[in-house]
Amino acid sequence: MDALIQSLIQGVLLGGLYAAIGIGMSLIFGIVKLTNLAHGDFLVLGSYISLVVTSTLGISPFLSLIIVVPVMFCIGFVVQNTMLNKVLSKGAEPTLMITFGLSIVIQNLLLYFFTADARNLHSSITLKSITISDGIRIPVIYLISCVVGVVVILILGAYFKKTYQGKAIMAAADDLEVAQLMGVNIKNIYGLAMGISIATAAIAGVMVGMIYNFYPTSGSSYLVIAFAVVVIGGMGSTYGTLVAGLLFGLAQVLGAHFFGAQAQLLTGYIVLLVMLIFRPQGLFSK
Amino acid sequence: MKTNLLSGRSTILKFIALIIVIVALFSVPSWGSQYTVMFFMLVCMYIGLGQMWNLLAGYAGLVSLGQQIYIGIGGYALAVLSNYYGVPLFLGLIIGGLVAMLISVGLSYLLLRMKGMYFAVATWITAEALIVIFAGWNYVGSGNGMFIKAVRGMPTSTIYYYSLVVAIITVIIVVFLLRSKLGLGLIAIRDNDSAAETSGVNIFKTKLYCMMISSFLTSVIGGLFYMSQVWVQPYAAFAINWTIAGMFIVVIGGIGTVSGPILGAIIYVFLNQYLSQFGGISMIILGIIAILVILFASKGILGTIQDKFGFEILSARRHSDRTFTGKPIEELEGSNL
Amino acid sequence: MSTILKVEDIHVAYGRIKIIPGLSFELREGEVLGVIGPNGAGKTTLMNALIGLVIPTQGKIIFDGVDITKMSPEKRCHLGLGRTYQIPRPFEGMTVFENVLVGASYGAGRTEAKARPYCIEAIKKVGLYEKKDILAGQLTLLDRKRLEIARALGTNPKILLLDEVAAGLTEAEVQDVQDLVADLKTTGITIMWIEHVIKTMVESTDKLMCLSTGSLLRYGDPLETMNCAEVQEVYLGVDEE
Repeated sequence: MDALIQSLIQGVLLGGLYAAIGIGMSLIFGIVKLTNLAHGDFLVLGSYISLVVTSTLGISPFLSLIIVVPVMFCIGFVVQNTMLNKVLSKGAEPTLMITFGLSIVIQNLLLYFFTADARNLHSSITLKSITISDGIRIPVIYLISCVVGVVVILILGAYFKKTYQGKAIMAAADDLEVAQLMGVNIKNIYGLAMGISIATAAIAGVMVGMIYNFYPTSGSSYLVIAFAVVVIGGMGSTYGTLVAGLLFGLAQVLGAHFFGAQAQLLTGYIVLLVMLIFRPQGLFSK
Repeated sequence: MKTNLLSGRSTILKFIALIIVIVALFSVPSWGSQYTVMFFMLVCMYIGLGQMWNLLAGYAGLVSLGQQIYIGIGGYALAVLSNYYGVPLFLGLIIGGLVAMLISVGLSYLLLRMKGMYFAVATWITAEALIVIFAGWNYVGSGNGMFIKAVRGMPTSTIYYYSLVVAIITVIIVVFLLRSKLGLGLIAIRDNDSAAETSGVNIFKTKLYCMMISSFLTSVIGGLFYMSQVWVQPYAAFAINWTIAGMFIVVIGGIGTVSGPILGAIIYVFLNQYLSQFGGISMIILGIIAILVILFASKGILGTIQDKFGFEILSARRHSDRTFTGKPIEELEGSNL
Repeated sequence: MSTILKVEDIHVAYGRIKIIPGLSFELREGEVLGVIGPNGAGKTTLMNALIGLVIPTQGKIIFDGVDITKMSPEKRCHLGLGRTYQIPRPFEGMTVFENVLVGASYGAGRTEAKARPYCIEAIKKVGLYEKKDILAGQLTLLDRKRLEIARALGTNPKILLLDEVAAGLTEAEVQDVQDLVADLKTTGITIMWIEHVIKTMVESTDKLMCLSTGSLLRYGDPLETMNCAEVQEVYLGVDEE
């Protein structure tokens, strides 16, 4: 029983992290209408940049966010403005293939500079946990990452509702032509959106790096999570992403609980495939 | 009449050139080193892989990220059939192809109603799920994979001949398919699916046929590849790298052209072999080249050249007054319809 | 004249938004039926329901004695329903000839070789013969509209559904289209024609029906329909034309 409760708690906490992994992808799909197949690789790139920052400056991974987030934002902005914006008008395939190409390039660059060895981000907090009862312990880092995920989503939600810039982005997502007529510079808006998307991925990357080992090729497993969260939550829905993260986290953890650790991956894949086949528009949209 | 004679002569010339190229290719093992034969063998396999990815992505509008499903099935089918049942290798290739085709039919019913990136991701996830399944399946050697015992001692040249034949078959099939009614419907769907549907084209059936052809031949190529590798292992057989290779080959050579994947495969194998001594750099360079090609020459090398000079190698363009071979269609002249 | 198309109380909705809340009418063989109505009246939605791009939530569509309500667009095409799109949707990478060949081979269930003469016939009829080997993507608007008609004709339709083929054309070009429709009528094709240009509708149609918010406002003789007070109020009140 304790093991099940432990799994449930872990699933819920993972949910917040999963939402943070998926929110950027959801944003970019909702606003720019493109699928970023390199989303997971950008996330892992964030982990590696944090690794470099923490080891050279000797600061905690949390502090490294001050550097990682702006750097990743710039990378996202530049990628969107120099590459993706140029082929947006040519349909879905070119952007799909460019992001796929980026994924290969990032993976192999990381492989080249960091080798295939397992890495992780050290912090004094990573080993601590809160004991609730004999069998139930909550690792503090899970709790923190969940809180960070929720906060990221709440901030984004507020940004799109309250700020002028956020509203402009949403306007562009709703009706491109009207937004353009209102004087919104679409190309810059898209760059901004991609910057935000990649920055959130980087935040997730730092959290993930403190919980799990990462490798240059880890990106694809995070892409699966991001994609699952986006598909379950409904493309472009900010709060849907949060609920979807919870559901997917629970599904995976329960899959592992009942069918063994190997099943965690497989449960994830199957949930995603079933969603894609039967409800690609997401659980929450009509 | 004159142009007719001329075009007739150029058809003969083209035909002779083609025969010479094919004969030259078949003679490679008699003069080339082991390395040369292997190089040509890989080129042939990747031509086939590229053609089949192109058939889906370039013509049927199905950007598949799951071609490795069929590579893996082909490799494993060959291993299981020859190791456990003593099935001859050639038959193993064919049966593997049929199994792959069956799987593609099942997948088509599930995945073909998806659009664009949903389809792309679903094919990729299916392949990833197969890795987990095969890595945990004792019958196929779980994570360690299987040795294909029967291919031990088989000369590279034999596998090369097989690969060459398969590469030629893929090209011929794509050309004939595009010049058939199916190809006409395919290009119509690619250009505008709802207009194609209201003009009487059955979208599902047309795409299904492409999936079946592509899966069969990709699986045969997978089988051939693992004949040369001897050892089939889940993480490599179902790896996305297969689709990456197919995509680079097609994108660089020219998506939606028949000749593009041939050039693309030569470039890919050459770069891969040449750059292999520098480790991961080959993939970085290939990735950058692919991105640059999509950005600046979206039709690939051959596609861009063809556009510029207004010709097309192995064209599927239908002319109102002559057939593909250049024969004029007479009844039009006197037609009073 | 017998009834070739019978629409019985169809309801069509996109998500929660009801576009057509119950509509019935009949189309007689060999007739030209005009459909008018202000923007948002559900004209194109009706067309999409007839051709199968959207399935009604209720009601029946009977074509030539066959219930086609839930049939796929491609099967309806085989039965003899051809359509044009308001915004032309040519296969841009194909030549004019190939475009029409798709309709003439797939739509009419012929082999490519057998379809060729019919294809040429359709191209001649709409006046695109000179441009038959030009890429469809390079055509002018008028020619694209002609191509739409030729491709639909290639499918050998019993009913031809025209969606605003005259919109965006000059007066002389509209006259061309009217002549073409008159010509097609003599070959026995039944035509349903959605259009905004009232003059054209009155001149070219046998029956005229006016839709408003998805319902039938008036159905009958073109002039009578136009002179009907309700039609004038709804139509001219909402639409500047």
